[in-house]
Amino acid sequence: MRGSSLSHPDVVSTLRPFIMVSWNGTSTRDFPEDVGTLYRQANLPRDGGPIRLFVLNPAGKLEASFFPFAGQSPATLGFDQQRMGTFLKQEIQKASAGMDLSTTRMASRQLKLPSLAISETSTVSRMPAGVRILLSLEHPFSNSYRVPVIETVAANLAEEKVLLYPQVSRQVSAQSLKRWLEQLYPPGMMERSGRILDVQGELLLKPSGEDDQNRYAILQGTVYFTFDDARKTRYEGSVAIAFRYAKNADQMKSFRGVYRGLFPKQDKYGKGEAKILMQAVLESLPQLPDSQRVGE
Amino acid sequence: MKTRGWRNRVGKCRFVLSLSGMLFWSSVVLAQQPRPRDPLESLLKQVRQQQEVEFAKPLASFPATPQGAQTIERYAKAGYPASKELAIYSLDWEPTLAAARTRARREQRPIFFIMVTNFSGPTNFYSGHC
Repeated sequence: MRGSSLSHPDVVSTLRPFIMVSWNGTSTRDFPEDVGTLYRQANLPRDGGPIRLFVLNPAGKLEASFFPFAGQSPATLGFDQQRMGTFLKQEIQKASAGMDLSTTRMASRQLKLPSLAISETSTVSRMPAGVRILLSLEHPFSNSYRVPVIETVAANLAEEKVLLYPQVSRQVSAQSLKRWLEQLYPPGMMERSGRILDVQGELLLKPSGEDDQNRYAILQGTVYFTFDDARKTRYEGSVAIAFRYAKNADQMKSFRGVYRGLFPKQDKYGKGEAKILMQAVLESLPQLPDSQRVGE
Repeated sequence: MKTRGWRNRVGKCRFVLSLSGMLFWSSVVLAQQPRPRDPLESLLKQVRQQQEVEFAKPLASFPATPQGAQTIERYAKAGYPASKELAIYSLDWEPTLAAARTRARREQRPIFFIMVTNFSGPTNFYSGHC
């Protein structure tokens, strides 16, 4: 739904007046109290699929609830983004028919990418607040990855230490950056936890000269992953990150890098392998003043 | 005794059998030959195969110079997703239902709440790992 109907331009326009929120769990048993109350109030059929949608009025009361597809899955709309978008737009309009949205403030068109809620007690000194990873994927015959995955990871002292300016080239274990690298996996695998179990590899951090304002270092190498699915799929990818340091400090100021690799997705029924192309941008998130901090 | 009629019948049978055999084997050979494809489809397939080869290779080694570092930064900039792909992040998201309710009351705006219960996970609809 995220990569198909929700990102359809007409649906995005229709949702501009709304405050958006999502909740995820593996079953209805995980509900926090407010989510459970809403679920019981809506009383939707149990067999409508794993995604349920709710429209609430400005007072927070339930107006309507519905499913994003005409049946249990997008197959009922032929996996067609246009049909799925039109269906969802109509459902949202029906659900909000009782509210006058003509004068409601709309979300601006400016992008508000996921950022970090920074702990007031953070002991990380000069390092950026953390990393944002924008992972783009392409499946050979499925359209499920139209919208990139965006994850953020707050910085910690161990990473700050590992990434101090290298006076000479040195090896950096991929394990020491596991919290970043374990975000590099395809979503929607629907098996076991569908996350990374293990990250291995040795990366080379080499000093890369300086110019008038900065010293540079490059971290590069191959990362080997073990994925938590039924087959414990192993895959690998290549990462290169450029770090900037102030001339008089060993803690880095900012960084930007790329990842590229393939994920070999086995068909559940043994009918071959589809290679998912994975490309990611890793960028540092600046330390923001308190007034500008944005919660996820 | 083999009569002329019998010989004729055997001859006809041989002819029919050899003809059907020829037809059968020609159809097998034809089926094995690559069929002409839509040129666009064929081109897209070639591009995809090329991409798979590229993505399987490690990234080129970047020189340990400021220029090498700036090249990586340029690669990252070029790899940034397009605004169109990120359109859902132009909407106003809140992290919890409670926070959404507070903001909705303050700004007098409705709430669109997406509830996901996938059996595998944990997942996160907002980040996309769902």
